[in-house]
Amino acid sequence: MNVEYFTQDKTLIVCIGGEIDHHTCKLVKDDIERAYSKGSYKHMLFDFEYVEFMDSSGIGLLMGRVKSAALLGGQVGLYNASPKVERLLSMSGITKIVHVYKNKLQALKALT
Amino acid sequence: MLKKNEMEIQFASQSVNEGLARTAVSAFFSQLDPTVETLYDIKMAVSEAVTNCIIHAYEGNGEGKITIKCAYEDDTISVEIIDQGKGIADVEEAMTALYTTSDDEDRAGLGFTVMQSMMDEVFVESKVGEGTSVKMKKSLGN
Repeated sequence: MNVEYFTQDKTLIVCIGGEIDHHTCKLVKDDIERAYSKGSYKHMLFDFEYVEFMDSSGIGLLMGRVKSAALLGGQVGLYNASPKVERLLSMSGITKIVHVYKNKLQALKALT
Repeated sequence: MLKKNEMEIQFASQSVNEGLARTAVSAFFSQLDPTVETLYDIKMAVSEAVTNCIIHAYEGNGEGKITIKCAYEDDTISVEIIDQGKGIADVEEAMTALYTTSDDEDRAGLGFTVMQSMMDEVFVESKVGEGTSVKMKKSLGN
């Protein structure tokens, strides 16, 4: 799994590529937390365009980030998810606390 | 002609092997020429089952053995994930959505729910102190 970070005002954009499972989540979780706490960010926005696979570990990863962002009054969102990832997101019910957007533009408009 | 084949693999209960398990199972069932979607569903189910073995059965110690038996007969596939870990005291409770015993706050408790959604049948047999077997079946209906 590869992670790249971008900044857009008060939003940290986390671009994930590759496979999201329990193993890769363990590897990147602390890194994402560090990137988020380093800047003066409010929201966390995941770009899932390059996600090739995700199991329920990805739901856990998002749940944990919702907790971190909530401490700073921020929200977590994601965009560019594939239909397969979107299916898992709705199955899990996490869409009630993680906002799912079609694209970056829509996401940034809603979050800022 | 009846299509019939089987495969058995075994690996250490290390999280780095989750990807290996998905790839191996997917390569085996590719022989049936399933759709990309079907293969993805099987990979999801396998990933969840193997992750359960690593986190719960062997409690992250990385020293256990996980066995995967794959087979198909015509268009019905079966995957069995077996561990000799600590076992599940209450299988029904463990299979409840959002139920988790994990201390890690980033675990969603959705493993069995995903397995049941991706596959047609999921059988779980477990004995405390002896291990767990998760047997899943799916008809490819080609």
